[in-house]
Amino acid sequence: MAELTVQADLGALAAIADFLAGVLAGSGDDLVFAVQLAVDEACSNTILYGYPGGEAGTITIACTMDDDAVRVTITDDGVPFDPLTAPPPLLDIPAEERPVGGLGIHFIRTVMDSVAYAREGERNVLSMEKKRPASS
Amino acid sequence: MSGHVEITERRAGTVDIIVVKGRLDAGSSEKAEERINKLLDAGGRSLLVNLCDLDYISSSGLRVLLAALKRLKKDGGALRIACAQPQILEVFTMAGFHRIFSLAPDEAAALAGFTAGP
Repeated sequence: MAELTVQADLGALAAIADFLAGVLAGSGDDLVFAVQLAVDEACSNTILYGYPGGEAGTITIACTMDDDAVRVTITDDGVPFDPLTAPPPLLDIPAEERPVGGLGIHFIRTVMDSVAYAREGERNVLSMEKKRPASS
Repeated sequence: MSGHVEITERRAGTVDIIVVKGRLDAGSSEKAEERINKLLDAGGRSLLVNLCDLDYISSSGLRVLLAALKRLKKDGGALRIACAQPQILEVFTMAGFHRIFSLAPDEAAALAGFTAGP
């Protein structure tokens, strides 16, 4: 299993994307983009809201791929937060009336086939899976 | 860290063109927001955002564009987006933003949209 541990800092997002591109190389640009988007949104949330006191944190991204699916587990030591409890965004209202926020979780749910959250000890664990297109 | 984004500006008549290359994520969207706000603070009312060489956008990037669109609409201005790549367009679509933004296939078409009016 490929694993990357980074400081919980927005500057790490590009490195996370590069890591995923490496692990998922050869699986198709659309799949790579989708997984990068889901992981980026989850990690952005953690970095922006997981450390309200400004304390240093770490995020570990583990990624595996087989013929059937890509599986990613994101573990962080931020405050307990289940992103899956966020309400869905309002997509059909005019631009002027839209609240900001909520879109990131919507993207994660849209591009991944399954997402699960658990609090394990002092850590948030977000597990995501995306099925690969049939190769036939 | 700025997050691997490159932003350049130029003008075509009364239209401010801002070219965003690379990654527009939570780490780099603040930089883009500052540059756009600077243009709007200077009185710009026609903003063309060229995404031809943008490789990646997240919800943070979309929020910056939405904030600019809201501000311009309030002031009677307009924002048009030129040549977002298929994967970028997909993100716009997932957000429902394809319905609220003017998306042109290239910069010339986006520019023509300004002279043609809203």
